[in-house]
Amino acid sequence: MTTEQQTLARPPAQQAPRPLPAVAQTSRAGRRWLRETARYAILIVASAASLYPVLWMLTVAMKTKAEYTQHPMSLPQSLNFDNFAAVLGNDDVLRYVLNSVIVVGAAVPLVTFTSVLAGYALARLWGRGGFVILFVFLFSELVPISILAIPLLLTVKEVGVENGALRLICVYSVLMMGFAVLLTRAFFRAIPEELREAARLDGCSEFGVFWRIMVPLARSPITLIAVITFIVLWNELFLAVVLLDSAAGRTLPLGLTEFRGRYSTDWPTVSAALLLSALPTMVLYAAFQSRIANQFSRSTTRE
Amino acid sequence: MVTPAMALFLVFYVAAVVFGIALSFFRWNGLEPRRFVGFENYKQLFVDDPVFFTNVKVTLIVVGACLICILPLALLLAVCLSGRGRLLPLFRWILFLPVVIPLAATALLWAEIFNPAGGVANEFLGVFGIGEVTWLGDKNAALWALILVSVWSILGLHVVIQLSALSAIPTELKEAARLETPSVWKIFRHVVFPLLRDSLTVSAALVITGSFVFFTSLAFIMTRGGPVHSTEVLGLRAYLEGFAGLNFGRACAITVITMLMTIVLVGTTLLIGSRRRVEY
Amino acid sequence: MASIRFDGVTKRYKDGTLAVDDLRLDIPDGEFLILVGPSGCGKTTALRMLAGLEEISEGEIVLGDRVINDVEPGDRDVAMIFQNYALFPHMTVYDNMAFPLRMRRVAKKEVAEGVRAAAQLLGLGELLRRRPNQLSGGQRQRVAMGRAIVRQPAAFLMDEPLSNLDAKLRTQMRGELARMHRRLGTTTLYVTHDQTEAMTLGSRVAVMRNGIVQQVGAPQELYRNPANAFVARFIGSPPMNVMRGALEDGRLRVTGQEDGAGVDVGGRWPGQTREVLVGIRPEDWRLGAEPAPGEALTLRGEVEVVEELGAETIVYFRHAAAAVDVAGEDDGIGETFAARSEGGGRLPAPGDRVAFHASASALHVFDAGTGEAVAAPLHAASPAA
Repeated sequence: MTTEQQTLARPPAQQAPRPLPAVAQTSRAGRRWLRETARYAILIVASAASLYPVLWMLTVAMKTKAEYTQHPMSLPQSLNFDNFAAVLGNDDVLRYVLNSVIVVGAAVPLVTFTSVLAGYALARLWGRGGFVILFVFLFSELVPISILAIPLLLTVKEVGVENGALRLICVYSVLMMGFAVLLTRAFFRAIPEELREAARLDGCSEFGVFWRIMVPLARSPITLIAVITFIVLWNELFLAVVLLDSAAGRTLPLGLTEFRGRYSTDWPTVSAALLLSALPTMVLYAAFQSRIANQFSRSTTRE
Repeated sequence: MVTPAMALFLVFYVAAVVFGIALSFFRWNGLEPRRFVGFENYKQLFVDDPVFFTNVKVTLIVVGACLICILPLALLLAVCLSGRGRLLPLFRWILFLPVVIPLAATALLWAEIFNPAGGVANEFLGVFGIGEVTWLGDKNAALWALILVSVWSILGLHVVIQLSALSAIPTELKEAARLETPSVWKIFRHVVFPLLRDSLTVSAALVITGSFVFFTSLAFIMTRGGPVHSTEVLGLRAYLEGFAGLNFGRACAITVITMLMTIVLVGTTLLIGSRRRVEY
Repeated sequence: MASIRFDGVTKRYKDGTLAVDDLRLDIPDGEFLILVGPSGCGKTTALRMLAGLEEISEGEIVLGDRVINDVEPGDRDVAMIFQNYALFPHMTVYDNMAFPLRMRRVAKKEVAEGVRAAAQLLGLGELLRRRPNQLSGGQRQRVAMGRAIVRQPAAFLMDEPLSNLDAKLRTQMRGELARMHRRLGTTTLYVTHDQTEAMTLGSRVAVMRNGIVQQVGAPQELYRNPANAFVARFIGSPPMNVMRGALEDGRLRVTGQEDGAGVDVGGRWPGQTREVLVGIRPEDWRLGAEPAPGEALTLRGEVEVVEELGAETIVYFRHAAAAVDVAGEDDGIGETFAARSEGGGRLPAPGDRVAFHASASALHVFDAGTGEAVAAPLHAASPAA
């Protein structure tokens, strides 16, 4: 890229005696300009499509009901945060948030902890046993647990887990476990065996190797697992719909649908609620953006 | 060390698979004792139930449409995003944003956009002088509206998958190709595209499993399968069969069929993708 | 510090492969012993058994005065330097070096002292706060050494520690290793496949092949009196030239030699009759039109490549007798001999037909079947030329 720019920036005096390359350069630069224009045109259209609904929701959330009915697509007349305040002051919403925080707050550490252990063990475990276990985890990527919602509900009832939050915690852990185990396994397998040996020679126990070497080394994938798990679980809807018996335990996404039903004529307030519900994941995404995006994709590409 | 993870997995995944398969041979309304009926549930679905065929058809249309829309679009956008440019990270951020928005919020947002009474979609069409559409109330339009929402909400993930595959291609390969041909298109067609085989396979597999999962939630919120079953995918049918019809045996049978469909579809995809695979 | 003894140590893998076969080796306290051999010869396995990273199938390993077969690696009091250094990437240089001490619950103050002392010795003082990925190859190598020396182990084990460095750095680090050993005097077992390292670093060298030690001795001893054709070829670069021949009642005949009368070897192998391999070091050839007095062997061949290395020149020439495959190793030389000459004179050009001469005393003779050196009672006799 830079070489071409330098070539173009060369003084014309040097180019004059050699007309042939000069012609070639112009057409080359022309093609290049065309290509870049096309690239950004496409990106702008796609980004507009991505962003517009979200921005629209934001504008609506700042309007009054009347204003929205009259001008659904215009910019709000003023920066008005009343709708947000109304949502935050709503006891139901706060209950949904609390439920979500409990469920997700328990499931995230549970997934992270168990899958790091399992991933480390599976990375070093060969033979048929390891293969069978690995296969089960891979299978769960093939047939996501959400497909199994109905049998899962019946199983959970059969096992006797009555508490809705507990049900979700367990099921949510399993929902993310295949991903987390496969990711940590791939990570630990890439760590050279010599590190373990060096630590053993230096007087580390096997558990010490895991705790003092492997876990600190895996800090970055562990963080990512936690963050991605949080985002996915915070947003999960269908399993909650199926598995929760009582209205009291509703998590935030499920609560939103109910909220929408109750405020069916007040879309601006609902908009504010939807935006607020997306806030934690959007903040996390903003903070970890490139790493999350890459890992989201890489997790499933490995093996 | 695998034990804790495995224990959870056995109870909440493996057991559900096994129990689901077992229950699909029973008639059960959730309260009375189960009655073994053999293949009766399957037989009813396949022989006496025209709606079930609609369910399968709708599901396959969703999978197919998502594949056809998402893969080329993701590839195109990934190519546009690759390389160096000051604004590219911003575009990447924007394109991925819908992925992290809660699906419930996405569904409700788009339901409002598609609101026939003053919704943005109709306002938008009005600009081009096209008459009003009832969208989610129209049995011809509803499915496509929902597919549009699915694509909107997961396209970003696949863009990023393709993008990271693109950037994993060693620069030397592209440089070597540039010495052979000036055509950017030829380089892409003969060098880059074949190397994206793995990531495209992964994307395709994710689109398939994803459309089973996401679409069920979207349809659950936005249309409840209507109008006239036109958006009732298998996952939703299983839900309705269980909770509305109190027919858990048949719900399990539908789940088993869904499971087999994902396995066959994803399996075929992986098989096609792994032929003549390349490593570098 | 301690001596090391391998007493009939054998490593047999599950599939029956014998990686190390009845290894017997005595390394006195303070010695720098090099274990050298081609890849897959079992040298690294032997080292890893000593470290405790591989199980010992048979035999005993004694460190100091205790058998360590069943001692955990961390309790053996040996430090190892790995080929890829095995630095912990999430720790700073300081923490890496402090790690072995901390594992032994050494008091914080002593840890700091130990690390500082080692860092000073290795010139790492400036780098203690850095992480391994911010270091150059040579610096990482030094940190690995630092981690080994801080705890003052009974022995150092080094597994090809220099092979990831570029040539210049390797030479420099070789010097540092030697200096370090002189200073600390710690017993060291050093594994390499590089015969230059073997020749320059160790006080003694053990050559291994297929799990069996071929010969143990001082570098010059191995060079001058190789016990068999394998050692003869392995030590020295370019390797010793080998051709087929036969001893007939003390007279040596070399295949392909024009003079059918055979070589007058001055009665070095009286009364011997057998098929043999005849070896000659590249520097023992002399290029010239006619043999000088005392030069018993003359080969004429076509010059293939001339490598001028500055101080010396190596001439590769083609000769039918060179087609000898010693012990199945393929070093890519094929049907050529190498001749080394220092100094000037007119150099031949590729394609020239030239004659090379050697005196009888420079010849090494090995049994064609076993490869063992044929005893030569008069070998000590001074060269005729």
